[in-house]
Amino acid sequence: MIANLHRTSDVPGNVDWASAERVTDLAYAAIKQWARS
Amino acid sequence: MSVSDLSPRVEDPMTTVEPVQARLREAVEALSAIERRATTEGERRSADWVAEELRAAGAREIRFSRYKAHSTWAVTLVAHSVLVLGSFLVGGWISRAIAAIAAVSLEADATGRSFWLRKLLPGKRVGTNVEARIPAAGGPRRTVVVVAHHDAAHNGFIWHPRTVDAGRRLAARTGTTPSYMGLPLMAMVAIAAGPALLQRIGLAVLGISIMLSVQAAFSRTVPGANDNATGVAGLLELGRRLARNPIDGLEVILLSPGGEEAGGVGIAGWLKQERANLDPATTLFVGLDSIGLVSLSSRHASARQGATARRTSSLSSAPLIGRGSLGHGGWGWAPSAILWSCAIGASTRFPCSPGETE
Repeated sequence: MIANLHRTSDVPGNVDWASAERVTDLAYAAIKQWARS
Repeated sequence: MSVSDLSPRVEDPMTTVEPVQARLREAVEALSAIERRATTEGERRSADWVAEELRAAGAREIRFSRYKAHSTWAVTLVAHSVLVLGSFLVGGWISRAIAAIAAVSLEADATGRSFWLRKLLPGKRVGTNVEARIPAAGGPRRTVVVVAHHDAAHNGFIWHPRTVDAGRRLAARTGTTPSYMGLPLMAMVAIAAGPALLQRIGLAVLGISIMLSVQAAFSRTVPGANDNATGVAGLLELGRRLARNPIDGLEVILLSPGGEEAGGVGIAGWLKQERANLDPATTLFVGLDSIGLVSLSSRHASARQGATARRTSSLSSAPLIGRGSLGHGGWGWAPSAILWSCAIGASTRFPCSPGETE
């Protein structure tokens, strides 16, 4: 479950940017793997 | 409407060396500043913003599509609940039958399989999806659809931290995220099939559900930085990378639907138009939703999320289009679960870092 889910505290200051970057990298890797499989 | 005639904007060379996190932050801050509840003018403005950013990222064939829906899930929940409560005035087998039908209908609504009751209700407005494409070099052999909704939720008592925490604990035990429709559904089943005492409890639950739903419907729209400006920021980043480094034979569809927080109604409208053009055997959906987590660092959460991902990993592929499950109970949440689990180090069938293989 997500912290600040559907709360007014869901603001940029409460975002984990490292998590966002890592998930983006993962999605990119998954797409590349899918394309080449 | 189409903005495909707009030529791609030449990016500032400085942005090419800008750290990824800085770009993600910039996008999240810009989108969070827009009040973007489903089917509102704010949602339309956020769609415009996403379209402009997709163009800047190098994507082509940018298009808007419209869907018609209510601005909140509360409408359908209240309608189903009122139907059951009203039928109970008649009593007997009729009220039980209507409660059973309402339960089936609400479950179908919550999972995106059927919105039949919503269609009958007044008060629908027009919402906005935006999509862009990166054509495949050498003709498409495979398609990937990257999805990140750009609308934001509204607040309400039901999203109190204690309620959310109870849902988190249940998800940890079962590996399944509980639906906000769960309690009303159980109440309807109790009214349809239970003894008198359970029926009374079910009626009380439905009454409370109606009050909470109305309160939520009239609550503020939240900034939605994590849910789901982060997903849109990730979508733009992926678009930027895939436009600069096209993968041979891969057609990319970058889709940012509205209406997710109203029950997945935006992407349901998009699929209604596009389903026939997508081959389940060669299409992969990747969902980005709330990717900037801050509370999944514990070993307990990691293990449980990993279990969730392993169970749902097969849901990330396009054959689920064929199954027609579009909402939270279907693939709408499943890809996110996989991505979250990798973000915290759990294993899935997908690589958890660039270049990593199974």
